[in-house]
Amino acid sequence: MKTLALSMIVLLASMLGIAQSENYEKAMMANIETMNQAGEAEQMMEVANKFERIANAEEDQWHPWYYAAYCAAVSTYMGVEKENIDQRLDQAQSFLDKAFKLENDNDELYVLQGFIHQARIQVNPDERGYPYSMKSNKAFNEAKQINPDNPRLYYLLGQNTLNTPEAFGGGKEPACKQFKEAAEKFAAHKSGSPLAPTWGKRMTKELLKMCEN
Amino acid sequence: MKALNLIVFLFILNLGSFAQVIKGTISDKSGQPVPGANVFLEGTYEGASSDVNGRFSFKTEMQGKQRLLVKYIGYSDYSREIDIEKEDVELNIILNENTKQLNTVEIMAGSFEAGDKKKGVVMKPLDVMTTAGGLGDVYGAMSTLPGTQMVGEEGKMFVRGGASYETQTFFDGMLVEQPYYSQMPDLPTRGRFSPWLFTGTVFSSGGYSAEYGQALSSALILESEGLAEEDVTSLSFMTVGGGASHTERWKNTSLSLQGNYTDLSPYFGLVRQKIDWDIAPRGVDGTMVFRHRTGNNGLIKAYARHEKGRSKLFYPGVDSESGQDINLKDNNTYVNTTYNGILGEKWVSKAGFSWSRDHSDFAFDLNTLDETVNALEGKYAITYLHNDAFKLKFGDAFFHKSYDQNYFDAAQNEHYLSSFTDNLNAVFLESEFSIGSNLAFRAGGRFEYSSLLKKPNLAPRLSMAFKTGKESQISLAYGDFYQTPENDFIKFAPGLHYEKATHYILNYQLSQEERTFRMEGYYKDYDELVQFRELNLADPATYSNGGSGYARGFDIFWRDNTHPYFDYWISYGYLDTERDYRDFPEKATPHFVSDHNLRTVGKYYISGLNTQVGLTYFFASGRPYEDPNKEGFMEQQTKAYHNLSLNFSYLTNIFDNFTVVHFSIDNLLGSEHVFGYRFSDQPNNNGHYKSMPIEPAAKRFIFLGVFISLTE
Repeated sequence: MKTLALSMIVLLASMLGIAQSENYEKAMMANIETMNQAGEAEQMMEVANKFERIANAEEDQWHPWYYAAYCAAVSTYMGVEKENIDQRLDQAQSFLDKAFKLENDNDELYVLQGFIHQARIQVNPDERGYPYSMKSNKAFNEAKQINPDNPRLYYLLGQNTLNTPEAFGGGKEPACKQFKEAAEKFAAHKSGSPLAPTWGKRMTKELLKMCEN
Repeated sequence: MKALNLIVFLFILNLGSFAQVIKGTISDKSGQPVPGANVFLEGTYEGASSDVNGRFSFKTEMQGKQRLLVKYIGYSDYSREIDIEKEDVELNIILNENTKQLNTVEIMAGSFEAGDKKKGVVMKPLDVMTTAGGLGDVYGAMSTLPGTQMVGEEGKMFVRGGASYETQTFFDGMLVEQPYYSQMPDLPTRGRFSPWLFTGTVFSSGGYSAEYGQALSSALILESEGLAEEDVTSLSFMTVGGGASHTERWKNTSLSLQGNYTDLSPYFGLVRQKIDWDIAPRGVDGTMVFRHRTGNNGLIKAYARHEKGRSKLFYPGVDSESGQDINLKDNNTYVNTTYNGILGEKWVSKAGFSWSRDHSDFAFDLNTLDETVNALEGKYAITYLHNDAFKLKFGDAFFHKSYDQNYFDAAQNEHYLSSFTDNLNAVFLESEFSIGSNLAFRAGGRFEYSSLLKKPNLAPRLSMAFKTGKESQISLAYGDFYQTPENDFIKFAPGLHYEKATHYILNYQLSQEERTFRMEGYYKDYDELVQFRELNLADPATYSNGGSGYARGFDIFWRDNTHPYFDYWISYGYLDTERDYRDFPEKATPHFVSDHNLRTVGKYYISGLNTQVGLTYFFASGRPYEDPNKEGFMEQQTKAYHNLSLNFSYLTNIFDNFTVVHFSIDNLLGSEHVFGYRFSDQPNNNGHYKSMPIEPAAKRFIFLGVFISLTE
């Protein structure tokens, strides 16, 4: 009887364990789904908070910090007042820094780093355009060295190019080349984990449509 | 069986219907709701974001004692233990603002800060290069800020009634002994440092921190760049010379080497000068900038520069036949090394060492004047950050200066030597504390002892600031400032005291996104100023600290950068000052003072042409001068000064290399500038002293430069 009780306890405990990690994945996937649906800055920040909660509970997972950072950063493109953009991006940066502490050789983190730098340009394109494109390009180069096939990398590089004046090698034409490259990489990309980032794909498609016009 | 029952029971319990609701509100200290805050139970996924009214609510199945956390950017983390039993939990949480964040009160009486991310930024590094009339010089650009005087024949900073020596330059916190190039009489000089070196600039026209001393009027605090971003090679071709630089970046280290050659003779050949140059100014300089990031987030910065310059001109006398040749050779070496490191969670340390050697060699016809100044500084400063509301900074600086001068009088065939050595020790202690985000104080003091003067000084400094609205604030500052008298006096009279100034400042600032309005009133009391009967008299009894004076006035500044392509600022300063010092026979307004100073700076970026156009207009009311033919002392006034300057910066690509073409013209309209008059030493037969105006060397100054960054 005792043995049975003991084995039941063990079974239960391990079930709880499995439940816990299943729970993690489930919660993450649910949040990613909400994130993909979110169209307003406030919704995006709510999802960021959800990711932050998971991140706080799961000490060795980098994904929740990564997504929290992404949500905070992408929210600045969803109608945040100009004077609050830096604050949001500071928050995004602090989340990303935590992800970097867990993973220091991950191309996705560098891509997101470049994305955050890019987002800072919104505050004052005149003044920040040059220094922050340099900063983002540096982060993108790091990502490229780790994984030259990261599709988001080409999508964001294309964005940088699109915002660069033609006199400096920017403009629609070279940008569209990069978007095309991004689309190819997206098509070829096989994500190993259900939690792997997929953002950028939809935007790349939209941008390619613009290129055709 | 009992055990199994228990397990089943636990299992059911786990699935159970015990979910409780945790709800409440989140607000800040002033009672305003905080939306978007993240409220959750530690170690769980359970939580919620607060809504527009600061309300939150979530269900939890957790039981017993749990830790509730609230996190929101701009506020300190909140944490408390709650006991979850059968009933819902209701909480009203007040978050403390994280005072490091933006939008909090800042002490800014007297100072103009410039940095990358700071709010209320007034002068950014790039502004130095693109401000018309600034001539690409740090000091030139700073002279478009209020509180400064337009003194065209000097090119140095004159702040709020202070002479140029009263403004000191600090490079990464270290005092720069010789910030300007050696100067020919009545011709403007410029700063030695390239504006590109610095990412942050604080121009303080009074009331500054106890960390800085030996400046009666003003401190220009330059913060140099960190690690270089990337490898780059640059070339510059200018009407006044050329240069090349290369920067190499490794993971934690960067190194830049730079060399420049300057020669104004081709330019002077094209544009006629009123001055008779025998050798137009020319020089070479080499610079090394090294950066290394150490393991523990420390940063080592090292800067070294050596420069050699030469020029020769004929300096006409007031009487037509007289005059003399002046020949100048100048050698300057400057080394600055600092280390910034983190000592512990709350401790930050900074250590620095700087050394400079300046050797200038003047020849006036056959007479020669050799001057060598060696200056060395060692400094450390420790900052203790108790929390966001309290900070303590203290440190110690040691200055060593040795001065040697050799004057050779050819007529007498005699050498006159003078020299001194001074070791000055300074300690400072200052605390900054804030009460909420609306009220901040800074209190501290500085103690100095000079081995040459054999006297101590103790300078208290106090300032406070409080917010009067979301975007406005008032600051107040008071402080004593001491400075060792200039080399020319202490070389003969080491027994002098420090000169002293006391500042009182009241500042109001309104800053919105990209818009700044500020108004500052000040009163400055000068005491212990050096007085003498005749300069260069070796008798120490000639010199005393009997001088005194005052300066009072107000400055107004407005900058609007809301339009993405258009940026402008207007500054106006009113100054009323008098002093009795140096060889003045009575109290008078010094020659470098204009009562009214107005500058308007505008920049417009024409995106279709990739060109930025800048226009600056300077106005300064007339300056006093002494006419020995007239009654009274310093009662004559020059004509007002008008200067309209224009520049263009065109951004382009040459063979895929980023290129800036820069063109500027100073005094576009060719307005006549007279800075003062020189008079003959002796009256002529009619008892009249002949005079000669002090004017710029040419009506206009035109500059064209091409700067290319070679990319791989």
